[in-house]
Amino acid sequence: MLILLGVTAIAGFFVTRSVAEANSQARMRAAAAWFRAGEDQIASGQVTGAVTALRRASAIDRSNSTYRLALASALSARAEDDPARQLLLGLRQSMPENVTVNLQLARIEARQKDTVAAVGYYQNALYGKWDADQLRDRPRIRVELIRYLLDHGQPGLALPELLVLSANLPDDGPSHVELGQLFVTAGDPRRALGHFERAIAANPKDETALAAAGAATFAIGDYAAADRYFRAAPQTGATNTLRTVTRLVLTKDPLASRLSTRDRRLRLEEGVAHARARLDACVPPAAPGAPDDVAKLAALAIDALAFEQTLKTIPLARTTDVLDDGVRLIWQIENAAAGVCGPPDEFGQALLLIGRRHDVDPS
Amino acid sequence: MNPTALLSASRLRLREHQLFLALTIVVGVLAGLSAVLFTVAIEWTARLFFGLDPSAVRLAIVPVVVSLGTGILLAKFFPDVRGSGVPQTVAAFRLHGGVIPGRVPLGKFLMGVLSIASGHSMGREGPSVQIGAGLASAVGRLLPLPPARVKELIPVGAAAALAAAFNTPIAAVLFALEEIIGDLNAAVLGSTVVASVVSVVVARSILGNEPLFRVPAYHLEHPAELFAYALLGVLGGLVSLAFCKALLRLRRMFLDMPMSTRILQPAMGGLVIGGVLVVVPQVMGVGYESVDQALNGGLILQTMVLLCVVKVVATIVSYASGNAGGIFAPSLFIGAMAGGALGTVVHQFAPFPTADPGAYALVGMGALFAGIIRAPMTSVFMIFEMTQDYEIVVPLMVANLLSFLISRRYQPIPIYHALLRQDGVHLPTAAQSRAAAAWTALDAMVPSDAADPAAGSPEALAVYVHPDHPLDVVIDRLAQSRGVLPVVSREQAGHVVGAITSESLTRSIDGRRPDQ
Repeated sequence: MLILLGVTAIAGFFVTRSVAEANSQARMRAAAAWFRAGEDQIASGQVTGAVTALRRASAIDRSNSTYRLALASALSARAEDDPARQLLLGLRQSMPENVTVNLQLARIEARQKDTVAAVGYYQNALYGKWDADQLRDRPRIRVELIRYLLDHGQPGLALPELLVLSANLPDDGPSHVELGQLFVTAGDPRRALGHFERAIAANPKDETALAAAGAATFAIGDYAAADRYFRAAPQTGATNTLRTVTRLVLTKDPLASRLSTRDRRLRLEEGVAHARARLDACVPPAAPGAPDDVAKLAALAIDALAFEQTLKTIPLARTTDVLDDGVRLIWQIENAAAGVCGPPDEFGQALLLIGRRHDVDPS
Repeated sequence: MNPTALLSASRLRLREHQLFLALTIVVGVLAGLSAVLFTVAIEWTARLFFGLDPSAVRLAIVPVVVSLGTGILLAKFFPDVRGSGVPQTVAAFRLHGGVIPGRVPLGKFLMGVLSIASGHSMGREGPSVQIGAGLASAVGRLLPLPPARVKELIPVGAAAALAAAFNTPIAAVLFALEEIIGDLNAAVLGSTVVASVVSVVVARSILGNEPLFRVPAYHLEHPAELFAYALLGVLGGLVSLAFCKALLRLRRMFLDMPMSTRILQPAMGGLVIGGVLVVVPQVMGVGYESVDQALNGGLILQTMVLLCVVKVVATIVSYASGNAGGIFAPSLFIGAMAGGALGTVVHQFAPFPTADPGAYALVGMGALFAGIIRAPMTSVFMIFEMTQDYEIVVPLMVANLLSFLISRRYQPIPIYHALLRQDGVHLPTAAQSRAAAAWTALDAMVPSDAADPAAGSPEALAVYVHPDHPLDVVIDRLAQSRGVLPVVSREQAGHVVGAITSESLTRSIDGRRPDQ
């Protein structure tokens, strides 16, 4: 009887296994049907319905990571970050290098304002295992990370990513312009200029590249080059100020090369006159007990007046003796006034840049 | 006894132990297969009844229509398979010598599949226990084994079936000891373990080894969180209490209805369930999908509160109206929702770091299980085995204990015992069981000088007992004797020191002296 029972048990095992296998296949078909329904609803923008359908699919076929990933995406789209995160963390345990999983986690953490976690996941995504059909998206993801870092005040972390990106960039104008603009935001105008120049080389009439190159050279301090770029670029609101300031720097710098003494004198007098007018417009009469910065401005006003008098009395030939002092005084006035009286006008900006250009800025 | 006889006796005992071990393995396999088949049959039938995406009409109609059929079958052919199956298994073990009629596992399988697959809010684990125990009893009586051995197979089959149903071998063994036998030091511990292991191996080889729930690795975030888990234990105890009292009350109402309505009662429950499913389909059947969502933080507070309340109502209605299904899975569902809801509130307002609400859902499952089923040890191990998350054990134990104590304080009789009492079955108390365990043949023996003279004759000595033999051996051998069972000294072979008759046995059990 025991042997008969044993045989029955063995036969029962195979029968049960067959039945279970058939049931499992039916379950998989049901799960696939729910998954398709979920994908269709995502395509038609019905995210709520998609979540329900994808939930059913992943509940039926729990080992299918595609279903769970799709569900996590749908939950993220509905800003249901907590359940999405749990799903993704679970997936990440078995697939730590999966690009999609890490990328979605990065975006969730970015929404939750956890910068450290977000950056970590972005980097895991970028340096994870990429399928062949995913590789074309890699630069775009890197740009996403770079923008995130720049938006959150992390240019130091963004720069290495920019360098990697530039090494793998498609050689077309728009890509170079975009990359150049990112370099500018990251505080590296020289590298940015290189990309703008490449864009211009590809298309000399690329207005965006020309304007951007002008801004980059302006930031570097090469105003002659900036002027050339701005002349070639269209006039737009964004570049007008820079264009005007550039022109002023080039035309109002008394220390520029190949200028006659007369022209130097004229430029110096203009600069001093502007600085004095600035002071007159914003500095109240100094009174006992006035704040230091106001007192400083008052003192500078006296210095400006004295310098003007000096200029009126010294011979033209001795103009060069006072050029440096003049430029320094103008810079000091404009710099101090900016702190007390508000931002300078375009001429004032140019005078400050002129001073910086000739190293009168002690910082 | 001469050495040859001693050797033969010991060889006989060895063969008996080997036979029982082999039988334990066979029972483990059969119980495991039955649990797997039960699960598969429920899924298949549910797909047949409801399809992929059932309409509201289908949700409303299927429970009541199927319950009309099951009501007839339960009333006419399978009256013993209503409800969970665990109380009936306990009664079979403690009162009926391990005898479970052969139609019971068959009927439980059929009725359980129909009830659960048609949407009733019931679990499949309790029925699995009765099916496994029934198979074990049938196998034991088929061989045939002595009654005492048949009885020992009941917890073996029960544990094996539960182990396969839940994929929790350790918890299944503990459940058999805590709930079926009522003694953690039972002699059948080894057999229970063997059968559980075998059944789990069988189940995993067919269904795979995925845990029942995918749970993130939760852990205690801050020591102060233990207060929050203690609060969960209190909540669990109160919800368990409400559930048990409401279930017993409603079931009493159904039982008090005229007998002529018994055939329609499952359908009455089905009517209510159909209406509930139209609005809240998540409470259909075992509901593990929603539990998984709660464990992973996928449900909002309002949803969890709603599901908790509705599941309590639905389960009570399904069970009390006489359908065939268990309360394990509903306990876990209710616990997950209650725990998750409390966890959401705690997570939002606590002044110290707390785990995600999913952790509270996990602990809530255990707390409700401990409070309703009253098996705290089983609860801890079951949650651990189902989720494979050991980090949460300490909060789980805290919550379980509080829930268990509160539930026991205000509902002293455990739910399974209370359900049996409603059916007129009174299980012995722990004191009575201990007294029975301490009872020996000496307590029922009429001493030699007052014994029946026929007791010492060679024919009578073919069947005998020793003074230290326990009650079940005495009962067993008295049935084999001719009304007089000699009691033979162990020290002096063949020396009759007394005799036991039915009358002396009855008097002994009643607490009187055997010779009065």
